[in-house]
Amino acid sequence: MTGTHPRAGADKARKSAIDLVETFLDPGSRRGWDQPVEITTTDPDYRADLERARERTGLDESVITGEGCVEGRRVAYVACEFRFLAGSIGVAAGERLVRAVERATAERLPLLAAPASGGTRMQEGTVAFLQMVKVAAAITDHKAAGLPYLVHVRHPTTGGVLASWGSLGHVTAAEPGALIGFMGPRVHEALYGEEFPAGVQVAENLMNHGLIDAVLPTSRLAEVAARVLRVLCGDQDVPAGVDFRSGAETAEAGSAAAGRGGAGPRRSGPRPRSRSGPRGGRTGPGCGICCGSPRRNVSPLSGTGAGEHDPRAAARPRAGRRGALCGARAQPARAPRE
Amino acid sequence: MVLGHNRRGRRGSERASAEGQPLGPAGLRTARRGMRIAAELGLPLLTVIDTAGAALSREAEEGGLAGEIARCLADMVTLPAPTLCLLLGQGAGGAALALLPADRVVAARHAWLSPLPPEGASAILHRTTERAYEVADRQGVRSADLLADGIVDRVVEEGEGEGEEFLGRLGHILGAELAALRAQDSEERLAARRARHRRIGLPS
Repeated sequence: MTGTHPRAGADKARKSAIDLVETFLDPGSRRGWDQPVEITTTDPDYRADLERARERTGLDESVITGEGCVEGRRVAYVACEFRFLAGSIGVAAGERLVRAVERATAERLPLLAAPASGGTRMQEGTVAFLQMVKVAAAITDHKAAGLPYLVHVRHPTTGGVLASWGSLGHVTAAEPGALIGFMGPRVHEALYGEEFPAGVQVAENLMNHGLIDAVLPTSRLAEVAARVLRVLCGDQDVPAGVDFRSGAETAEAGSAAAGRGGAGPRRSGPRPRSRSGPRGGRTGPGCGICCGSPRRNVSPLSGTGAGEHDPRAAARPRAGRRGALCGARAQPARAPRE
Repeated sequence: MVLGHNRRGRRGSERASAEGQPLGPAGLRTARRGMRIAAELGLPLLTVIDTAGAALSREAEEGGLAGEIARCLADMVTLPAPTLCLLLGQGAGGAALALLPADRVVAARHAWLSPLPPEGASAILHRTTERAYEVADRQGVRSADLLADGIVDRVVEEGEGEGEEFLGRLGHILGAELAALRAQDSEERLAARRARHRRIGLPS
């Protein structure tokens, strides 16, 4: 849906979809997959909207798709161009998305998605709305084929995109301060005549509610994507010298890899934590990804991804543990728990 | 297994009916529980859509409403059991879409399906709610449009003040549809379901 939103002035500063994708792909590795799309509508207002959007962005639709490399690993990407009719998804964009996902599945590539969208292309009505089903189906098939699906939710992402491919990631990051919500605030205001409460539909708040794993500025995307893919792609990373069959270890393995002492099955004594290595690494508590802790292949997840969390004890300072993937505190500083 | 939007704010007698109105994340998780049971026991699933839309509140957002809709779409489109959707009345937004992907879709004559209630779409496109009828016209939200677009397979006529008679006819039609789905080879049925959703909006 087109229209203004609080950060409309930031549009000039907003990265184009291509530029955004280039930040997490190895330089020069990007190859677009997009087939040209013709304007087929008979609605003159919609045709004019499309022509303006084309002129403005140099793209023919609101999504770009293709492949590239992350740290030398071939991946596929799909991304929204918000400057094209607010990144809205109609039949052409939906078809482009699905073809890219299907190709990623067929070629067994991890898929990286970067949505930024007001949702369904309102000019196309219910048929556009139904595109969300086929995109969700394609993503589901991709994951069922044992392939990773990473999502980086950008500002703003609302409506049908959030309610389909935006929320199905194995791991989900979001842009700092991004507006992320099911119902766009302007739509809410139009329907109910009042503003949606502030501070709710924002990346940091959703992370604290377990819906998003990390808030990441664009500058961190390449590095974090690489680390997460190292884990999710199941790269074999066996510490040198460990013989798993006998349970014995050679002298070289020692305690370096897993904090064990001595040979033989361990029945007592200190056990390594499930995220082994000293908590805290070199720069701070709890982050196995961006703070450069010794375990480079740990990808902490925040919450259930579905908004549930255990009851908290009353009146205790909380660690910024929810921001595990990035270590950044999403709120004013709190005392670390440990 | 029947899943339906419960408009009355109290539990109906159907198993796993979605919570009161408006629909929130917990209601959708209830629906997904019903889907899981249908899948595990090989029971045909009937979903009934009649909703003015999802809950729009802090709790709904922080409870992951959008994600639950996404998971419903994923679960519905891949459900191994035979699935039939009845679009009974209002079909507004993601709360409606969440129960739509099925092997077959039957709509009541006066039912509609739209990304937003037509008043909302009118407000977005024209900055007034007054053009709701015009927007509904052009947006393809009504049962005849849905039939033409391949979103709905069959429309059941509703006469004036028919009430019981309509329900009787509807029950008969739903029974026949479910029987036909059960008789179909399941691999073929699942492939047809995927193909149906894949081609919506594409030139035929």
